[in-house]
Amino acid sequence: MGRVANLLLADLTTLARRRWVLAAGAVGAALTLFFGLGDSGADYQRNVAAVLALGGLAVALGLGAPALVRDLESGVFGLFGGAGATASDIGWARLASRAIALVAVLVLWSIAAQVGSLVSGDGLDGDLALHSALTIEVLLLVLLAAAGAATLVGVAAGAIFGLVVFITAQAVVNLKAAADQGLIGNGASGLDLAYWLLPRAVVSPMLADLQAADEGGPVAPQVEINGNIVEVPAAELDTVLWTLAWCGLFLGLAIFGLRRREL
Amino acid sequence: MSAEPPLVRLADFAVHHRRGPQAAVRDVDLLVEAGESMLVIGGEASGKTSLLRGILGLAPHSGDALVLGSAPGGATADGRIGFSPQGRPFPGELRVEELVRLIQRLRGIQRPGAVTETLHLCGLADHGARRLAQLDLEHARRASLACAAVGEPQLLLLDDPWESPETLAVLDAARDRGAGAILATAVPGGFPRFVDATLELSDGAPA
Repeated sequence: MGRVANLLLADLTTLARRRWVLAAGAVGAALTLFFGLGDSGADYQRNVAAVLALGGLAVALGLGAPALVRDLESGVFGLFGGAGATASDIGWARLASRAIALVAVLVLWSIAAQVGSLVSGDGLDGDLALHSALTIEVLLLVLLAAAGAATLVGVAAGAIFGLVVFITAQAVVNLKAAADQGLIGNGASGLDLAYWLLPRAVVSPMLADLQAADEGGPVAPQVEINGNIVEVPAAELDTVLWTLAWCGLFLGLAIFGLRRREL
Repeated sequence: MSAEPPLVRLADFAVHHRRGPQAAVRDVDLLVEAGESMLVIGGEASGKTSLLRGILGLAPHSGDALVLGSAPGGATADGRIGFSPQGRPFPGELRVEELVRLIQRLRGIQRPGAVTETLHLCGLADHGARRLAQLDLEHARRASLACAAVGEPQLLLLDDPWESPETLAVLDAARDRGAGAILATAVPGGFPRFVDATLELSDGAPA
């Protein structure tokens, strides 16, 4: 097994013993199971989506922002570097382990929701499964953005940057939808440019339907401009790929940010 | 004079901060032959840790330097240097045995039993299953020593070692197999009696 794999396994072991990670996994799973057992239809989907998005955002920031900086500054990476690991080895391993941990937590929550739905007699929810996968993609973007930014500006500012990316990605999609419906006048061309340059939120068909029915709750509140309701469409494949490309960009930024520091 | 090439030879060696023009260490000449050990002493911020980091290749450096036959960094990448950092820079959730095994694997050492032997040598035989965050300072320093000692490296770099029977046992074992050692400490204590040479640093330069 290579150095990256050994470092990855060590960090996964560390995360699996970290109390807040365990607590987040358990509390989120309990909530989604509860919603699966007690709610149905739009209520069930809205509540589970809220846990996935807001709880997942907190986990993504908690895993991502300190991923590269805290152990760099405490000397842990110096210990690894003194044993032959390079900054790239450490960076790849760290980001991979954090991404795996985030996916594991979100998948656990999603499975708990499906189990609740199944036990309550509502059956499995394919729309929710797709929504969970797309939410994971956006939260990976946030994790990588926070990790990369933290190498340049510190943990707290890195977390704020991750949050800004999350909000910006959603805003870009909402405003593009508004522009496409002719609800924005002069700024439409600028919004087009922003849409094609900035990372985008990946809106699932389930969330688009909830939002259109004004059932989106805090995750997808209905957007109005001058009294006109903005219909935010579900993301298409190009947005899924675009967001993946931004994940790659932030991954590169994070590795670069670590390499420019001393281990 | 030994017929073998020196383990470490530094001439006009300097270690730089990644940012800023001022060198953390400068004008260092140093020679460590096979089986020898050297003590680097100096106060806080005198450049001891920076010197070790330069030898490891973890910090930018200049001058004439040969470490186990390579430029600084080469022998580190090959896993031939055992490094014991100062303080307790450990992932606290890992167990002692897991950390030492991780370091062994990062250094590419395959020998079965190496971790168990090292824990025994460093007085950690009964502490292998303990989490690093739960160790008191004495055992944390032993864990750091074990990270350096595992796999019988050709060169030991010990930053702020404790003068303990375990440290002396590791140094004796290194000397017996022809390995070298560089110890850096602000508190030399009885170490000068166990080493072959001493270098004093003051404000980044030999005093």
